[in-house]
Formats: sequence, C-alpha cells, structure tokens
Amino acid sequence: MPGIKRILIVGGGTAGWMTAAALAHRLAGQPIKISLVESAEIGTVGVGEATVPHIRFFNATLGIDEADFMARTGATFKLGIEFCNWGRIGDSYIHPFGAFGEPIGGVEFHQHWARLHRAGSAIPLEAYSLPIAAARASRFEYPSEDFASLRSTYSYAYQFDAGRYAAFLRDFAIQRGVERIEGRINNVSQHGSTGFVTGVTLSDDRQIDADLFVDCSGFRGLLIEGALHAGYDDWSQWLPCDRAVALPCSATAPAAPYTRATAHEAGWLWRIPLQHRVGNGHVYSSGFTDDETALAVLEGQLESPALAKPNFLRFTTGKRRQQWSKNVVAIGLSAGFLEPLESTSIHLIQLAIGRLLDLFPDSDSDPLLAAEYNRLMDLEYERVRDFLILHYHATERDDTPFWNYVRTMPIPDSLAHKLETFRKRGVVVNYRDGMFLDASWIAVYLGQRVHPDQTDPLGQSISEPELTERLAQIAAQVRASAQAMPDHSQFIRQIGAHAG
Amino acid sequence: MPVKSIVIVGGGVAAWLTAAALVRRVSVPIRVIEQPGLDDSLGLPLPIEATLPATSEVLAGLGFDENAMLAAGNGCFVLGRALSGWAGDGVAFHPYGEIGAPIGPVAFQHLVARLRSAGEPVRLTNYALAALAAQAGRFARPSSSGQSVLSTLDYGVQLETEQLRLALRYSAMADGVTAANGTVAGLKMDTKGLIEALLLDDGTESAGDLFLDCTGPTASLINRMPGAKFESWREWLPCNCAVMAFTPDRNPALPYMHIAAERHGWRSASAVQGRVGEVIGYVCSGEPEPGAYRYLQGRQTAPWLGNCLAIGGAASVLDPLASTQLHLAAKAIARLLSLFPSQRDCQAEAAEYNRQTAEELDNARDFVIAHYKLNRRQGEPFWDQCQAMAIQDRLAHKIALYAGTGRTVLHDEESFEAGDWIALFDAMGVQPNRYDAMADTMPVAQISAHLARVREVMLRELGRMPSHGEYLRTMGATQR
Repeated sequence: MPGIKRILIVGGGTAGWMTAAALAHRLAGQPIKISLVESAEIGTVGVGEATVPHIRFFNATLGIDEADFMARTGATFKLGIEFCNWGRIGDSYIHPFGAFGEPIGGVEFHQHWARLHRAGSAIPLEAYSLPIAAARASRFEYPSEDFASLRSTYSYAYQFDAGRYAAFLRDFAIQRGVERIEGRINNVSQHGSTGFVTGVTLSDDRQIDADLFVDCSGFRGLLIEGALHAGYDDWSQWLPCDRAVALPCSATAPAAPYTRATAHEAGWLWRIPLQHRVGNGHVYSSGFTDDETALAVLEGQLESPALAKPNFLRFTTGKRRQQWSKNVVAIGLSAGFLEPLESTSIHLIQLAIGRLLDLFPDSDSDPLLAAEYNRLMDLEYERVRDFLILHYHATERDDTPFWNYVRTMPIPDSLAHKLETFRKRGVVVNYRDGMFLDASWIAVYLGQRVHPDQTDPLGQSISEPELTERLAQIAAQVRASAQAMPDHSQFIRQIGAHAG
Repeated sequence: MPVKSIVIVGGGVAAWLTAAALVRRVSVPIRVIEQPGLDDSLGLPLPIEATLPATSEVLAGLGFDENAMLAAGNGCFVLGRALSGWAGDGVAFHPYGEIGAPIGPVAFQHLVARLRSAGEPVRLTNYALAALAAQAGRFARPSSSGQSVLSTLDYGVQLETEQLRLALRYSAMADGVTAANGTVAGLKMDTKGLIEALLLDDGTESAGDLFLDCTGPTASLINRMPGAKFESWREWLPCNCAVMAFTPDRNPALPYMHIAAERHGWRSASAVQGRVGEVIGYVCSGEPEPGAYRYLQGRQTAPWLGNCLAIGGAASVLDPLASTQLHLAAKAIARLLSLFPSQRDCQAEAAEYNRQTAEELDNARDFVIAHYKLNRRQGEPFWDQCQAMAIQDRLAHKIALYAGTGRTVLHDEESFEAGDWIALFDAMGVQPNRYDAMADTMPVAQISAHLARVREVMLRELGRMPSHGEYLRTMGATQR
C-alpha cells in the first residue's frame, strides 16, 4: 500500500498550526507534502490560553526555545488553577501542578490529612503544596531534578495568547516547508465507492487533493461531520454551559503564576494573567441566563477597561462519535468540546497529534488504526468529562436554579463510582490513560468539600501527635521553600522571556 | 463495625503469602485456618512458582526481600520463556525486559518489519539481552543506570513452592500470626449478609471481621457467599487436567522456562536449584488418570463480596503458561492493602477492588488465550479448533492491530507490557503486514547498522555477565 503523499490540514487556529508544526517536524525528510488551508475571513476561536504541563514536552520536541516562545506569546508561568466559590460561596482552593505532602508509613498523604481533618485538627491542605504556596505568593522557580528535593514535587505550564501561539507555530511550520493556502472551502469531494475524502474546492475554484485530511475547522467539523457524518455525542445534560463571552483587559498588577476560575450564578468566569494583558471570560448556560446578563456579569468583574469588543461563542459540550473516520482525523474543536475549566483544550490537541503520529496510516487509512485511535481518544475525553462534571456536581451551592440542577443531576456511572470510592474511603480511582492523576482529583475532591467518611486504617499505626508533628514539619518546609523563590515577574525578566 | 480481626482460610502458599504480607502492615490479629490437602492455593499445584518482572516491585512493596525468598525457596532467576511447538519448528523466546532499541520515534518492531519486508530475515530476540543471557546461561541483575545496556534486561525468580510456603509460614508466625487446623463446613452470616464466623467441621466457630479465601479453586468461602458467581473460560481455554513431576537434577539451573505445545495440550519445564519441575496440561473428557489434577479455568465475577475476599486460585484459575499465578496473588494482596477496609461492611472498597481485578484478570487471560488462538500447528483437531475458535473483541482487536499495523494495544491493569505482547506475537509467527511509515524514511542500511550495533553492545555486555550458577553462588543463595 502506498504511503501518504499529501496531507491537507483544514483550518488554521491553534489546532491547525499545532498539527502542522508537529507533522512538519516529525515528517521532515519524507516525501510528504503538508498544506494548510485557512481563511482570514473566518475567525478562529482561541481555544484556551491556559495550558497544562504537557505543553512543555510538545515545545521541547519541536526544539522551541522557552524564552523566545514566552516573549513572542506574552506568556507567563502557571502553577495551577484557583477555584473560587465552587464548593460554597466564599471557598477558594488551588488545583496545583504537583502533589500534596508525601506518603508517610506507606500511606498516602491525603489519607493522613483527612484523618486529622476528621479529628478537627487539620490546617488547610494547601499548606502542604509548594506550587500553591508559590502561586499564592506570586513566586516562581524551575522545579528541581533532584528527586530528594521538595522542589522536585511540582511541574509548571504556561498562560499565553493562543492567537500569538498559533502565529508562532505558523512561522515554525512554514519555515519547515508547510504550504499555507489562503482560501475558503466551497466543496468537499469524496470517492464514489469508499467515501474517502479526495479533495476540497476553494471559492476561487482551486482544487486541493490529498490522501490524509486533518479537520481543524472548528465546531462545524467541515469534513468529519459535513462530509463524513461521524456523529456527535452530546454531553450537555452533564455540562450544561453552552455559551461563552471573552473580553480582555489590561493588567493592573504584576501577573500571577496561576489562572482563576470563579463560579457564578449560571456558570463561571475565567481570569488568565498574561504579560501584556489579562484574558477574561464568562462560560454560562443559556438555559439559566442570557447573553446580556452574562456580559454584564463579566464586565462587572473586569479590573480595568476592556481592550476589545466582547467575543461571544456558542458550543455544545460533547465529543465527535468517531474522531477518525475514513481518511479524516478531527483535531481540536471539530473533535469535541470540553469547556476550558481545567485548561484541557490544548492538551487534547497535543494528545491527538501524538496519537496520530503513533498510528500514522498509509494512503488507505487502515480502519484498524482509526479504531485504536478512537478507542484511546474516547477514553481520554470521557475521563476529562468526568473530571469537569465533578467540579459542578460536588457542590453545596443551592443559591440558583443552575447550581440546583448540577448538584442534583444524575451523573455518569463512571464518575459516580469515582466519587463514591473517594467519599467512602478516600481512594482515587486511576487509570493508565487519562490526563488527570491522583493529585488533581484529590485537590478537587477536598477543595470542594468531598471528605472521606473513613480514611486508610493502615494510617492509624502513627499516633495523632506524631502525625501532627510530621505534618507541621512538611508545612514549614513548604513555606521556607516558597519564600526562597524569586518573584514571578522578575523571574520572567531574568530568563529573558519578557515580551518587551 | 470496624475490622478488628482477620481470618485467612487455606494454609497453602497463597494463605501464608497473604498472612506474611498483612501482618507487617495491619495491626489487628490475623488467624490462618489451615485446611489439609494438596496446595492448590494459587490455582494449579505447581511444584515451582515463578514470578514476572513486574512482580518484584509488588513483592518488595509488600516487604519481601528477594534474596531471602531466593534462599528460602532454593530459587534461581528466570529471564523469559522458550516457546516451542506453537508455530512451526524451532524455539522462539519471550524475553523479559526490552527488545532492541528505537531509532528516534520509531519503535524497534517497526524497524524489524521494515528489514523483513526488504527481504532480510531478522530474529527479534537476537536483540534482547535477556534472550541472549538465557541462551548462554548467564545472569546479572539489571543496572539502574539508563546508560547501561544492562538496564534493558528484566527478570523474575523461580521458587520451590513448598519451601516458599514454609518460609512464609515461619515468617508470618514469627510476626504474630496464629494458625489452627480446620475445614470450613459453613458460614455464620449476620443480618446484612456479612460473615460473622466460619463454622468448622469440628463444630467450632472462627469469628472475624474480614475473611480471606485462599482455599484455591474450591473457593470454599467465596462460593458460599450470596451472589457468588464463577465465570468459566472453558470455551477459550479448554485444558482441564494436569500432571506434575518434581525431580532432582544435577545440571545447573536454567535461567528460563520452557513452554511447549504438544499434540493434546502443553508441557512446561522450569528449574530451581537442584531440581526441575515439569507440568503437562491437556484436555480430559472422562475420568482423569490417577494422580492427575483436574481444573476449570475462569474467575470469580466478583472476588470481593461482602467481607469475603478471594485471593489466588480461589479468585481465578488460568493455565500457567505465563507465570501468572504468584504474580496475580501478590497483586491481589497489594491491592487489598491499598483499599484496606476499616469496616466490616466495605462495599466501596470492594467495588473498586473488583473493577481493577476484573480488568487485570481478563488481560492476563487474553495473553494466555493468544497462545492457543495463534497456534500454527496443523492437522490436529485440538489445535485446529483453537485456531478456529471465536474470541472476544478485546483480544481480537489486539491481535488485528498488531497483525495489521505493528502497533500494540494496552489496557488498564496489564500484567504484560508492549514488549511481552510483541514477543508473543512474533513467536507465534504473526508478522505485521504494515509498519510505521516513518521506518520507510530510513535507508535499509541505516537500520541494519543500527541493529548490528545494538547486538554488538549486547554481546559485549553478555561477555561481562557471570554464569547463572556463579551469580547465585556469589550472592549466597545456593543451598543444595
């Protein structure tokens, strides 16, 4: 079977240019022509400006220099996400990129903490997390590679301007031979018997053929849905937010190394501090509020005047039933939409690109590869979905119809099992594939007042005073380590990552 | 009601492994009810139990010292499995540890597939240090430095089951576990459907809060629990009879086991110091011959029901072609500790335990089924039927993806990793029709040179490794 000779990526934006850059890098030297068609007339959705630590591996694989990338995208460091008003109004916790404490006597740290909490003698969990202590103090330092050091217990990501990141990767991809085609797609042609997509026709009648198509056309899924009707699993009964409005403003204070997600009456607000501005947005449910009110809520929260007109988005949370169908692989919003509550959008793009490269097909696009790709991506999306639902469902809020709905709605069995296992005995259900590890689940469970009824009985071998003493030592180390870190903005300047 | 005492029923190696591990971590009294009879507590009553590479970390986590186990069990090392009679002539090898080395992002099996498609015959396991060492009768523990080729090798241990049982029993009792003789005649249940006490055949009762069924395939506790169900795997794993021999042997112990397919089933041979064990498994339709062991493969649908948990052969029985018995029991104990219940009523812990275990057992089962399904023996009704049998989608997808594309599928809770599956497929003569297109960008000569270099580095390392016997002597593990 002949190999792929031509790849057409449909759509620019973050997904399109990340895909183009990664393919150009990996396929360098192969007789494969990679093109990307995009239209300046069609706007792109900045799918999220905050990331998770895996993005560093993506950049590193491409050989991207961190300081250069940060300067060009106005990036700041990110140590976690602060969640305000989720469990109850007035609550605040941070989901950090790192672990809480360390296992004691072969028993996980959170079990010990939960034991003290049950006894009424626990201090807040965040006292045992270095990335949280650093974030709260607006400090930053690279993690250490010395596993004995407390400074090796965290990781970091970035907050950046997704539009600038796409442009940065566009330059990268074009330099490596990706052809950029400006144009609007008018028609998609398919093979008469196989149904494979054979090419697209642009509005100026140009015809572009390829063997493999990556659909990065956004929500509408021009190829995956428009031509191949891959279907869509609607998850809005669990994640009822279906609108967002974004509005940047200028920064009034030095950027903090964390993102904030504040729960509101019918959704939540994001705040993402970049070097040159602050990204703000309101994700809400049209079933519980309207656009006008949502915008007013957002405007009411801005710390400085808006820098642009409000950008309204509509979406249906869910997943394309087959993200890879025939010779079309959907990456980005065409593959599914999960709200950016946990900064997963860019990560899911990155994961999709990695899986596509691992399972790179020949020109007949073996359905076996598609089946494996879809199996893996389905697991990933479903597990992110469950994690997101947890944020809404694990709440005591009963102040609005929206919160009453999400608090009492039936949840997927897979999440019900996870929640029950933690609630009863503090155990986190984990898997081989799934981007959120134990520490993330623990942060959200405990941050949203899901406390275990019982803790690990094996932890009882340590006496309570002994345990209190040990935990106090850890908290003191965390405080001291955080205090020794440089200021976040200063650190950015120091490494030459300042946008100037 | 809190868990204040634990009762383990069985008395075989599974019971004492459980007791010896739990007593180190759990502060409540533990009592073992020893039932007389053959020790089939892990499944089949094998004279030699072998571990998998993944087992050593589990055992270490349970507090067992590998050297001490080797010394107690007249043990030796195992670097993999020689497979013969399954697919064509000759012997294939399933090595523990890594096979070959990738070039950049292109995995080794794709490089091999590319060379093969260019007409170069490549023996996959010529590029696995474990295979080379096994062949040469040499051994060294892997290096922890990623720089050294010795870090690519992995191993398990082979232990004399009865000696291991005695050592574990001694250790557990020294740590405070108590033992009594008895056979379970019935269960005394409370109103919630939980066990309050065991009724023993001598008329006494043994009360407790958590009951561990280590009675082997008879599963005399779990089978008495309401809702217990045994899921048979007979349609895919038809062997149901085994005969075993355990005989003195003056030759140096081989650091690998041999798994052969024969006309009516399989034969395995493995070694400890001074002895060899042989097991033959086959299908028996009538009365089994005297001395043969009768078994039925399958698993408990839910190995943890109420306050009763089945470990070892009571939870699952699987042809011992791939050394899963001791591994699965050790994993079960580690999993119990990670979900240790504080109350007699422990449904949340049980639900999660059963979810993980079901996944693990089905994956292990599929690995064994693949031996039968992929056999290439010809003109023998038993093996022809195995080739033709319908298998579940889960395994069918694994096989099809490898055969079609050279990629491996891994689920949660796998006992065997990508390299194990690749070695098995390759041993069965499954060669991918296609491979990673990236391998095509490399000239054949570059790939050949890469393979030659890998082999050269491995052979150089092999020259530095001591013989298996010498390694055992210098570590002081030799007894006989």
